[in-house]
Amino acid sequence: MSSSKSVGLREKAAKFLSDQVYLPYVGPISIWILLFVFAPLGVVLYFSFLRVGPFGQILNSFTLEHYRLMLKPTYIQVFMRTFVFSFGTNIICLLIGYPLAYFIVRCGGKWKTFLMFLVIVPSWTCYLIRLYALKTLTGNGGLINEALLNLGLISSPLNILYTPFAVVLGLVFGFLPFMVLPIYASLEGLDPSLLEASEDLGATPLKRFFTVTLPLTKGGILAGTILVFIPSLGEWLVPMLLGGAKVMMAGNLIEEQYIKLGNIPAGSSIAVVLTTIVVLIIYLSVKMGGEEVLERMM
Amino acid sequence: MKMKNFLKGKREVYSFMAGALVVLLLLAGLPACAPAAEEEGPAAGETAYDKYVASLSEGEYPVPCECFEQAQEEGELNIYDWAEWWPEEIYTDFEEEFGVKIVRDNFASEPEVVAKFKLNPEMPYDMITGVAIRSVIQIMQLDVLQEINHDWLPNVSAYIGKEFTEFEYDPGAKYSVFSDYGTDSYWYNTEYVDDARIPSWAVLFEPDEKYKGKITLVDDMFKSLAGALAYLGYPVDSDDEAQLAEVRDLMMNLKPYVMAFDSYPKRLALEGEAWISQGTYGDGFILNKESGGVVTAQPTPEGSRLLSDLLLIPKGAPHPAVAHCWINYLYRPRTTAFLCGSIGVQPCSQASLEFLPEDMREWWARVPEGYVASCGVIGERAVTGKGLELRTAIWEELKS
Repeated sequence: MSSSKSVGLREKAAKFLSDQVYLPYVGPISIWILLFVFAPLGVVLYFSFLRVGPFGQILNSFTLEHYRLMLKPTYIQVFMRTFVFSFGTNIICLLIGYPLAYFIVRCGGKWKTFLMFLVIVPSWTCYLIRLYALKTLTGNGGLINEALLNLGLISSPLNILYTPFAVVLGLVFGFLPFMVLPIYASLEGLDPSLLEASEDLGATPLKRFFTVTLPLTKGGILAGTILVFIPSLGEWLVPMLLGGAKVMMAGNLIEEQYIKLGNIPAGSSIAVVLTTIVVLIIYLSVKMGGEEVLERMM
Repeated sequence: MKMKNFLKGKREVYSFMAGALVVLLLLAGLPACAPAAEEEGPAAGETAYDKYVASLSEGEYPVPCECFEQAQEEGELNIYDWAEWWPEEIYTDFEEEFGVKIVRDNFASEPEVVAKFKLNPEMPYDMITGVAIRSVIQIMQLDVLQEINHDWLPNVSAYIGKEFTEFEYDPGAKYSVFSDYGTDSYWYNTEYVDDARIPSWAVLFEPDEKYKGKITLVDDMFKSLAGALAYLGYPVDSDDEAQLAEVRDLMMNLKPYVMAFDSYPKRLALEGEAWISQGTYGDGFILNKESGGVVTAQPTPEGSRLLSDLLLIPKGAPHPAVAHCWINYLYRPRTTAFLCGSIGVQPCSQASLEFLPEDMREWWARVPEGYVASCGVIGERAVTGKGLELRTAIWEELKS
């Protein structure tokens, strides 16, 4: 009885393997994702529930105390700031990125590819080097302040570096191309006949933009949001370099716990909370229509 | 040289062998060492060890033959250290002299070392360099360090200052040996800073209104708060609630004056962006050489914190004899002076002072007599329990 059952299962398994032609295609990527995404996340999740010994040793005993840390006013403040900065970055990137992409698509003509190339080129340079460049530009003795002083527009250097403004500036500077790209893709995919039709039906350019173009490129905006808002939520380098390590974001909190204090479970719990929020935002964005444009970009 | 003469006469060789045999019988529990000891005696006087002993300069003591020969067999040294810190010659000279290969792996921060030990207590390194006392305390709790054999370190025994071997966390330097040390201080730019209170910590912790936004603090909770504690006249490793509450108030008042938290604000200091910066006395030497306007104050009368760079041998190190040769090598007065002169730290041996570059010797000479002994260290009280909890709370409030 049992042997016939096992033969049946074996046959089924063999049939499944031979029938599923997609398996060789999804197999490697599944293994990759399993090993390098889910396994590390699993480790982080596991550590987040472990108690810490008096000398920072990780003890094999379950606790929720690290999650209780999230209720500390300082942590809430840092998380709030992270959201405000990331949201602000996203809005600014959108306000700059949309007109830019629109301009390239509408007026770029044969230069379109070249103009997009110019948008992408800065990302070929290491992010760290670009941030250091920005640091040099925005310092009290930096190029921006020197120029403004020499032009007589200001009498004493503007305090730009090591302020929240510098952090948002750095984030916008770093993530702008990721907003332009999906919006460009969605504008490119827009059927020109729809625009002509709306014009023929008497829509003013402004009305045409808000009733036809914008709703049809909503997917691009959402995809851009995924690519800008999400990474800025986990950012730690910009607040450290341009914020002078005194304007903390959630990423810095994790770094502080992991690296500076060596409290791996506490750092893990913050990382788990942040990851959960990020997954939720991605899910909502994809549900609301970002999926299509992301696919087109791929 | 002494060892060479000792082994010259045949009688001595026989006596040595007989002695080795007795030791062998006594240490029956260690059979693996015994045949080696029997064979070692006659061979040591005429081979590589002899050459090694002969090559040493005056004031440099050789490791014992047993250690040297074991090191020759081991042939490799796996070092875990900071990247691009110590001069390359330190490593290449050692490789050449001992005929061993050094393999280096780097860490970016000390908690990284501690975390690595926590996750994998059997790290395959022979030597860890440049970690501070507070990290060593945490590492020692994990029981992953090997006891150091001081009989194999004649240079250390001869030269290390006694103040560097008698700490509460590791009496007798059983598990950790200082490679160098330093003290915390602050640098100021003479072009902008003119304060009668120099060299008191008050200039940094209760600054004049005009220095608002021009001050940098070290981006390290323990070091930054240690300065504040020293200024207030408390032990730098205090875990007293009232004392740390005072520190909290002091730091929160200081916050508007802080331009950035930066552990080595070299560019900010040299370009005149930061006018007063918390930093080490040794780094101050390097900055002062680059720009004479940046001057270092060794905080007096309050005192300061002693910073430490320690050498450790992990338990189960595959090449422990080479690791001992390495420590002994670092304590040759000339080598110590070369190392300290290159990276701007203070040597733990008086004998090496004469080999330091003159300007650096003068720099160290400015530190008042007995100053080092009065400095506190960040010990167990600061890095565990209440001390750690209170510090973390202050730090997070300060930076959030």
